[in-house]
Amino acid sequence: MKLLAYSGSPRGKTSNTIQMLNRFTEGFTSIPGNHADTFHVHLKTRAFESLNKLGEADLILIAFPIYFHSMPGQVKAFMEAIPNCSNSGQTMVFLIQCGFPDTAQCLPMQRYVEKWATRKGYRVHGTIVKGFGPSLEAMPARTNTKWLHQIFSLGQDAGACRPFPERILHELSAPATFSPVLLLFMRLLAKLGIFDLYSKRRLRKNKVSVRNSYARPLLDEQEDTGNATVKGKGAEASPR
Amino acid sequence: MRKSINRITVICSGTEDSELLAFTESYLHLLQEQHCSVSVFDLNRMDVRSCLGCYVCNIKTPGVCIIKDDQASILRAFVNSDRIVVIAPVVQGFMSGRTKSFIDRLYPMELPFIKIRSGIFTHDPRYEQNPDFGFILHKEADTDAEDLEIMRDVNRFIGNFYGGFAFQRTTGESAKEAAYETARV
Repeated sequence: MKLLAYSGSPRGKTSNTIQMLNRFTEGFTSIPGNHADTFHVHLKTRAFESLNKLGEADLILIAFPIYFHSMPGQVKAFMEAIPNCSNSGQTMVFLIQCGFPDTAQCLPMQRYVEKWATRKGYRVHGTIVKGFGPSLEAMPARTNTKWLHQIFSLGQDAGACRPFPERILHELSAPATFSPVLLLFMRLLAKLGIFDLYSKRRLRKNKVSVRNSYARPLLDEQEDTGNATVKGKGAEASPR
Repeated sequence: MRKSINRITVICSGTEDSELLAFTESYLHLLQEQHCSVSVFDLNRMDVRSCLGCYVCNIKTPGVCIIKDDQASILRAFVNSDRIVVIAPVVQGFMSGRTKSFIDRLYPMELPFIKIRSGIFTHDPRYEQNPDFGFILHKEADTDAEDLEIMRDVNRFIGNFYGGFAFQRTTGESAKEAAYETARV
């Protein structure tokens, strides 16, 4: 079987998305006779050219991070260029990963991509939803071993034409939301700044103080330039 | 609660579609009659690139994007607006990639630290005053109620992150009603 895998993160090789995608393709190609090609959507040319041979693929994987509760703009633009299914039996898998731990924030997108694929004539093998993706960069490697292996095993399942086990999809996407009790605990952790340690570490690395991270450069600028009304470029703006 | 909607920024695109262009022109004309100050940005005529996901606006030069393009003028209008109205063509069941790229580039308006609001993990907006968001969608032939519901779910998240979710309408409804609702609190 042949897999075409598309990574939708503009961060390319350093992204969390590609690390998850790679585990999936490794699982897929661990089945003898399987082959996978991976493309980065943000590099445009190669990804768009590959659409010419999309018909040769048995399986198409589209993986992307959540930006503002949906796919990044360039991923949407790429999806718009994907042709309708040319040979029946072609199947799609989606991998949606978000930074926040509560994956209910990804649900509208899961609903969308599955409907989008069906509308274009593709079968949907399943959608992998994973929260707290930055765990890959912020947490020690051993905390990520288990769930990365689960993504590998889903790649194996897809490579052997087996359905995704509901239990694994569920474990990967948990928690969808936090229960009231857990939420209380999370609020406490948030108050203690536990969730901000990684951001603070990165600010420090860039020599930006916590105080300066609250900068409001556009207000400062306004004081300099006065309260000018901004006009749209070439548009027929006529502010009163 | 907001007292009045005086300063409106309209972000439109898809104006190569003659039907959408006609709606947009008529809507903007009617909006002028509502005694508001209106700024218009046509994404089709602007250079607004896609977000690089680099986090520079978050953790290196807080509030300032590394990409120097026309999005900067939209962000300046953002801090001077009571309401942002996004007029977007629906392409294959969701707002176009071009429109979504403009939304992604609002990231400099977010702070880096985690907040839990209404039971979900999120961030705080960078600025104290934030516009609320209205969406006017130009449907395709096969856009159905479920598509609109999915888009409403996403658009509500986007609006509520900033000043609130004001409305979602379609260009199938009259431009006059859209203009009236736009100028209303």
